[in-house]
Amino acid sequence: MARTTRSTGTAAPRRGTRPRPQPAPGGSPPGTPRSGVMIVNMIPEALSFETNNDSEPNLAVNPANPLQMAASAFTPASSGAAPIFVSNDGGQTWLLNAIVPSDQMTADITLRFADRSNMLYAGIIPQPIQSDPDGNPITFLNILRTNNFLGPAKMQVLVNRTGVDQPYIQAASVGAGATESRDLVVVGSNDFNDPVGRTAVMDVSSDAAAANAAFRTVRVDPRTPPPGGADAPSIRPAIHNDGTVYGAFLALVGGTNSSNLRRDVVVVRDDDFATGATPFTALTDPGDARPGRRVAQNRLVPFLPMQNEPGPIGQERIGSHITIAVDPRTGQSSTVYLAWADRVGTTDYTIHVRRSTDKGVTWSPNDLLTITNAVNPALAINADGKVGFVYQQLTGAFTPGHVTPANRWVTHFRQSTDGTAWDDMVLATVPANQPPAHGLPYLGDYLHVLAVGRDFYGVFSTANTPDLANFPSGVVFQRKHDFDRRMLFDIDGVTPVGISIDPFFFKVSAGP
Amino acid sequence: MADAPSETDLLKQAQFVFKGTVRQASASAMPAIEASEHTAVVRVDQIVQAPAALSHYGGQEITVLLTGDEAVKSGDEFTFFTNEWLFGKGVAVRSLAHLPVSASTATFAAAGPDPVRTLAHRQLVAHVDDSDLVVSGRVTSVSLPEGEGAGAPGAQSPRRLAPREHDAHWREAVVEVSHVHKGVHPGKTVVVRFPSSQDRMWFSAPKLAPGQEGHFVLHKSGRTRRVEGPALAAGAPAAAAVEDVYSVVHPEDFQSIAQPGGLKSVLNIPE
Repeated sequence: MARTTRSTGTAAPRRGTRPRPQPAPGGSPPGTPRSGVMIVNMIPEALSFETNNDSEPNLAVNPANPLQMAASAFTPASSGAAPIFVSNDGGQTWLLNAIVPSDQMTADITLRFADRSNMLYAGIIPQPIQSDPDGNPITFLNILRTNNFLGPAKMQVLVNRTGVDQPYIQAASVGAGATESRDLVVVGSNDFNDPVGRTAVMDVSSDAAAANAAFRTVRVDPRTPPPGGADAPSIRPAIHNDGTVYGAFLALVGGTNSSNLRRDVVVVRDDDFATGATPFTALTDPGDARPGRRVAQNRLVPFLPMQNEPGPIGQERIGSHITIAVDPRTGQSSTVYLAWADRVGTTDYTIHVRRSTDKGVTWSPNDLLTITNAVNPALAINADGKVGFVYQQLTGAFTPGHVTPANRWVTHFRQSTDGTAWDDMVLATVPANQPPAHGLPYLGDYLHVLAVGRDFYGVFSTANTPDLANFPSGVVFQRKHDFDRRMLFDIDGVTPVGISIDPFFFKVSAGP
Repeated sequence: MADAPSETDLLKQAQFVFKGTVRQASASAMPAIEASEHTAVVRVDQIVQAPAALSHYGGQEITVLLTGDEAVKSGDEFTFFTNEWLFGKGVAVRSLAHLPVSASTATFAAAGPDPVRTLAHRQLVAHVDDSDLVVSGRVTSVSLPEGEGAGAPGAQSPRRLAPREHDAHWREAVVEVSHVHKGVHPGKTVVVRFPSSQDRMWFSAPKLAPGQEGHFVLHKSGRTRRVEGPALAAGAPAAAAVEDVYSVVHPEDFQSIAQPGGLKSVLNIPE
């Protein structure tokens, strides 16, 4: 057994326990658990020594059994397969399970369960990376699956092809009844194999659980960018069980270098499970009658930092953030929320939230929410039609490329039933200058939120100082820590461990 | 049927190697792992080599996932050749094989006082073996690779307007060679490409700067360069007028001259 820590102890709850409802936090001391909210630092006790930059998290919750979860971050293994975080107690405790066929760590990973099959799917860029003769990295897209995410067997490779960045996966079970149910899996990615730079792609399988699952690659950007251009890395799908599949991406329309790129915010749609002859062409733009509705045009989206410069905003890089979510209720696939980030002034990075209630044909002309100096927007809609919105905002005045103790990264979770009135829950508020960045991204190019039934589940990465004031909605650490001294410790409970970026799971229960 | 791997092969394939006593067969010490005929609880008696993440477990009981060919019973003592599997409140490892302790003499002969350093040294030896050229020297200059950098400020290359997250941002360092430890290099200098990108994919690669002095583990980049004049060592053959351009991408491809151990131990360079 591990030696007992002399800290206040690891606060991981016992297996089988449930988060206990707590009194409302009005006037409560910092860190008091908020009713219906659970936040867990996901680093297991056995890895208490680690100081990795565990950024860019993603999360999957099994709709057929919400106690089962899988998550990912830039968390390395010592050798062999890359690990994912797994939980079978509703996210109260997490293990690291090395089952991803990638050398030690992936270069990108997202994962998702289908609704009914208990199958976990993942889209990854495996390592090691090879290079072409010019030294440019040759990245591979792998689409994976496993029917036993808690077991030791490596995930099965369904797709393996080159030239792809930032795969972002969504999955759903479609078709009625157990015998007709199929797993629809859609992976958005930035695919560099198109010679003219229409790089937004969806890889689609309408039966991904089948023994010989086939995927079809669909280019979804019909417009050719300026020479040498490409769509931004974030290509995001959203699936409704009625067969409606949305996609969102940022298409390049102008600019001369990284600091002044201009992009259109584009939404595409398919109405038949993305399986027809011309997928993702159901939505056309009134301006040019081509597929892909341009929700906003010619927005300034700088891709920064320039080479070898510090991250422009709180040590973080910017340049590609977009998210889309569809109302999952029967008959409600017309309602879709969209958020993206761009620059509206000279140094900001601003998130905009918009909504369509007619399947993407028209959009709210103004922002439902505007969040200045923020990254990592993520949207989800629950079974009540309530919208959940996560983002990470840099507070305090700053000069781009510089960060001070006065700056904080504040992770928000906001909800709205009508898109107009939003509540606001702070999940974490941490100094933005610590720890120093060790590579980019700092917090991640994305995080994730999803809904299962009426509950929201999400994951974010942030600094892991065990300071309850940093987690006003409460937090549980699995790794060795001392909240009183605000210190982390190695597995021996004695040796201090420096702070780093860790992934944090959260659940916001809908209540009765 | 394939031959069973040798002890030498197992030492290369397994990161966590230890002498252990089976405390309970068909059992698990982690609640998340269902006990089966392929699991056993094993006490770690002596660690031979280990990654840092598993170096704390001497004297403790861990769960071992056995291969289909392995069978153990309580009280058995074996040398286990394993790799990491699960980390939670405890750990579980995957066994590649186990051998009787009496048949593991090479394993224990190779053991040092520090299991983490033993593994690191073994991996570094393998890394050097896989390299094309190992030299000591000093970085005299760093520049953009030939043909790049003519684009607009901030452009990733003259051909590409839209940047990519995982661009390497290659730079070329000229290293004045003072000693060749492995391989053949007739020139006085060698050109070494390295990714200057801070992207997660490249962040841990060596970032070279003028004046840096140390030891370089080099890999052919696939590029060549034409060598002229004084860069060519005296008496070098004509074929040496074209030489390979090398790259460093692994964190252990460069070690500063001031840093003790590591490559110095592998290359027998005096401290």
